[in-house]
Amino acid sequence: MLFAIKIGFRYFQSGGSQTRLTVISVAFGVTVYLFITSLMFGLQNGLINTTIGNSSQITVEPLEESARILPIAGKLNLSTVQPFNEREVTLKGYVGLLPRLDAIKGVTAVSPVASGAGFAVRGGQTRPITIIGIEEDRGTQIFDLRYVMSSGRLDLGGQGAAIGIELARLLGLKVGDKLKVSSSKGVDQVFAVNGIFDAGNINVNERSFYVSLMNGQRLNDMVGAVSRIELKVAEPLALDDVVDEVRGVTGLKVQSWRDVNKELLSGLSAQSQTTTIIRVFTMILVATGVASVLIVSVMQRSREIGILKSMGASTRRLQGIFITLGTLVGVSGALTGVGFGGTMVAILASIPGTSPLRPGYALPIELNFRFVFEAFAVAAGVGAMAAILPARRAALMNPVDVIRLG
Amino acid sequence: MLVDMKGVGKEYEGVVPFLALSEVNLQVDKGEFVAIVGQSGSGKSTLLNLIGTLDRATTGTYLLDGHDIAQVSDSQLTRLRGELVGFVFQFHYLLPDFTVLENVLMPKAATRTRPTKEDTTEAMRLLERVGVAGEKDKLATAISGGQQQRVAIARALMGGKPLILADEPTGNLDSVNSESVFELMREVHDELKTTFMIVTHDERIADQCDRIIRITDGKIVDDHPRVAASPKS
Ligand SMILES: Nc1ncnc2c1ncn2[C@@H]1O[C@H](COP(=O)(O)OP(=O)(O)OP(=O)(O)O)[C@@H](O)[C@H]1O
Ligand SMILES: [Mg+2]
Repeated sequence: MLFAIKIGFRYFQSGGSQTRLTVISVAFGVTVYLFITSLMFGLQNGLINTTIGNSSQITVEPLEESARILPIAGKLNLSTVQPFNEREVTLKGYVGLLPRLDAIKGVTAVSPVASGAGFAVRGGQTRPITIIGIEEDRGTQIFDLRYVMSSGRLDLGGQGAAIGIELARLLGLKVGDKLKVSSSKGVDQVFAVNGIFDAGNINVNERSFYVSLMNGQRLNDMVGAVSRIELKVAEPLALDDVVDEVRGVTGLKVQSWRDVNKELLSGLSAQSQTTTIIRVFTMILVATGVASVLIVSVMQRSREIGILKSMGASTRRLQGIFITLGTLVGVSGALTGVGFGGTMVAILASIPGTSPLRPGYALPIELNFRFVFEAFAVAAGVGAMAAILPARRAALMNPVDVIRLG
Repeated sequence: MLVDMKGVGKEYEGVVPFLALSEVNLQVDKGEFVAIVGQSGSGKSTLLNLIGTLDRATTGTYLLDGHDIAQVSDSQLTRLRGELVGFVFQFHYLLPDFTVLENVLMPKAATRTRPTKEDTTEAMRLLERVGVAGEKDKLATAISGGQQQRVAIARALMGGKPLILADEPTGNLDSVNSESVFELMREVHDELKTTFMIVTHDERIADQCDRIIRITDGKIVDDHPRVAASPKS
């Protein structure tokens, strides 16, 4: 095969402008390919991160019991069916569950949460809030409040609280100020604002009121229990197995981020389809380019092929020449494209202010080794494939014809 | 017997099939030096291509060095041709992207994985023999027409092939070059006892061959040894 490779190489070197143009068009295709896949990848990661990166990916909640009919003195009395909202259920045995959840493979964070509705009161102002009681060290593994503190710090000990920047603005609160909180369970408590955070989400910034788990349990009238357990996993895109195991361990209601983000998921799959279409077109671009240069090359070199055949070069060797040529065009196009596309992606990823998702940030474009490899393999592979037909044509040519037609 | 044809015919397919050769009986021994002459379109190239197995006869039997060509598969035929036959054409058909030396080595490269040191030595010896050793590293396109044809002869001789088929090898050369290229073939024949079959229009060249085969309308009409050129012998 060395013969074929050597001749293919030489043909490539002396291929002239036709070959160079094809290399450029392959490079262009690879650049587009890299750019699009990197952008899609970056956007997806960005979306996934903003959607699920800072929140619970698997949530364990108590089973919703069906409405019970309270037996009164052994008789059924339909008028004493317990209304839904009075049966707010909680997770009582959560303390025992935590180590078992921690032990599940693929689970990276486990955080019990005692949450409920309430009001924050200051001066004449009252704002509805969600009281969220967390264990500081476990809670920050789900959503690291420390990273989004705009003033003060995260300290939920004693009467400490962390509040959103919007709530702080609405109530005119600064770090160190005190305020009163009334829960919907009718429990009141005074808190000190130890930190004000900006979660990047108006809802969270206006509503969330973080306190210690103990305070959360007390305010929400669930001492010794929590309202849910939040989990994070190592592979948020492939968490079905973990969900099953969590369900098995707890026997409770288990929901994953997929169950509550159907739109995001369908958006992501639409994006993936777009990417696939672009990939296919890129491959076609590469294939037609390589095929065209090879068809021309086979025609130009038909006489040489005839001579090689008259010397006893086998069909396989002759095919090998043109498959080598096609592969070389593909590979050198891919190299150029990877160099060019990679640089472009790197530059774009470093210009701030181009992100459509987060103002002030660079385009969420991420070059991934897998894409580079894929683009390279596709260009080389498609190049070789596109060469097969012209190569076969070359090899089957009758030497007599080409020699006779001199 | 190197070439042994019995009742060989060749019909070209086409809208109107064309019988280019018929009833050819031809025996050529190792070491002969044969000219094939005839009018344009008489079938000389057709015959040479059949002998060189570039094409197959449509009728009759042809044994090349004892191999019945009709019984041999295409890929076997390719191999056989590579071992037995060297071609020289009217145009040199050197590969333009390769050097003179690489071109001479090409028949080895085309049939083997890699030319050996001995092959290179042989190629250099042949280049010296045809007088273009000094140009070995030039591109095949960078030497003169006469030199190119000499390189083509060296290439055909590469590997010690017993049969060299030359289709108007001097047809594209001026008379001085024609003469010297023919001389070269003659000398190589005398030294190596290689069999040469040369198609030519040039009666002067034909007259210097040992045997002259004349073709008219696809038939061998005359096949005789050279008439002694000089009355002295
Ligand atoms: N592939 C082919 N298909 C059809 N007819 C052909 C083919 N090759 C040759 N012929 C015909 O066969 C006849 C003999 O052709 P050939 O090339 O053998 O002649 P030639 O003696 O070599 O002529 P010249 O001296 O011009 O080279 C011609 O009439 C030619 O037109
Ligand atoms: Mg001819």
